[in-house]
Amino acid sequence: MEERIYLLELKNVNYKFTGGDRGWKGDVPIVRMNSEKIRNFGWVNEYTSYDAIKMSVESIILDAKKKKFNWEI
Amino acid sequence: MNKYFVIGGAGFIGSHLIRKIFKDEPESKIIIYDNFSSGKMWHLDEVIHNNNLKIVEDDIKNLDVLNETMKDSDVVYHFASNPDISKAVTQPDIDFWEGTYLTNNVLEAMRVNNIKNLLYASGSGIYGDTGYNEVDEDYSPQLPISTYGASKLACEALISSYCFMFDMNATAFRFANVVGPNQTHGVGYDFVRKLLKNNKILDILGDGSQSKSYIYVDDIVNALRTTEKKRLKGFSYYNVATLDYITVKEIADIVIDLLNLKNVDYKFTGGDRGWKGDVPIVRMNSEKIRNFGWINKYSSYDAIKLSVDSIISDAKKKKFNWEM
Repeated sequence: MEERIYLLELKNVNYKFTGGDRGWKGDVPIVRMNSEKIRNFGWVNEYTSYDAIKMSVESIILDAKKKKFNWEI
Repeated sequence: MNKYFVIGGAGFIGSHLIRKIFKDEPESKIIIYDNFSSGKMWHLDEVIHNNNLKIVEDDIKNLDVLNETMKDSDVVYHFASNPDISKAVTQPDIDFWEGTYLTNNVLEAMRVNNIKNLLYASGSGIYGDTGYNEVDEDYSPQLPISTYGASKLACEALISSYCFMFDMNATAFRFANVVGPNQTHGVGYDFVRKLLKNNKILDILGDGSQSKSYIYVDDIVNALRTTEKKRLKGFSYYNVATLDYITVKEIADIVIDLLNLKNVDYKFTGGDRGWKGDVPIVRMNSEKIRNFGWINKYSSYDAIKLSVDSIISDAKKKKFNWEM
């Protein structure tokens, strides 16, 4: 049976920001792209940014629990 | 007093720059780093005995040597790249290995040595085939049609990113066709070589109507020096071109006139361009650098005439390994 994990179900996690407007030198902090040109071909995205992040994080959690990454846990 | 590191300093533009630096700043120290693939020792005849000049004959691909010799320099001029644009027709990776890859090594050597100032010889090829559009620096899309143009654009992209990530200052100069003494390639050079071998027939690539800006090397050196002295921060980029244009057929006419030839048959290979990758019509807007106060002293016509004169004179002195 497919195991599905939606969240890590954590609470009281402290966010520690390193500060500054970007992740690292070379990171672009604000990205806005117009994709009308390919949409005029009939392409549409099925998933929003919110959906995409949620689904990808789910699969990362699942893979991590299956020990697919060499992470210290 | 500046310490200059000139990569490709024995080549065409590099050798003129070195003469100019020593004239402007006799106390400055210059290291030439050149593999002498197209650079020539005789290009440096006027400066070779200057004690402030050091010549390192090596390849940028030897990153260890590059790192070591670049140490303690203040300003890097980077002219090293494949000078023969049409060569990629039969050797398509040449502009990567003798262009993009070299620039990556130059940037790395600058980063590890904490050298902040770079001036880079880019070219009009980054814009691709834009026809009679007079392109300014922010023209887009930049879609090169030759691996030469692609390499120049890739190099600019690498330089831009190093400026941001490692706090460097760099300027890329998008030159029109540069001509003058010591040039090692080019249409005028080819015409003189061909006509000294056969003064009855001249093979001309394309239909002769290719029309471009040709700029004299002294004007280029002035653009480099004017900009260097501004000490611009971050990454900047400038077109450097004349305000007039000249066709390949007109260049042939000038060469024939200067060689005092008559009744030469022009044999055109046909088609609108010299080879796959050649941009037949080049129009560039150079207002941005003109706003600095730079002006070209020579028109395209003057530049071609002066350069062909010097090519003929050097050929007669047997400075080239030409069959005649």
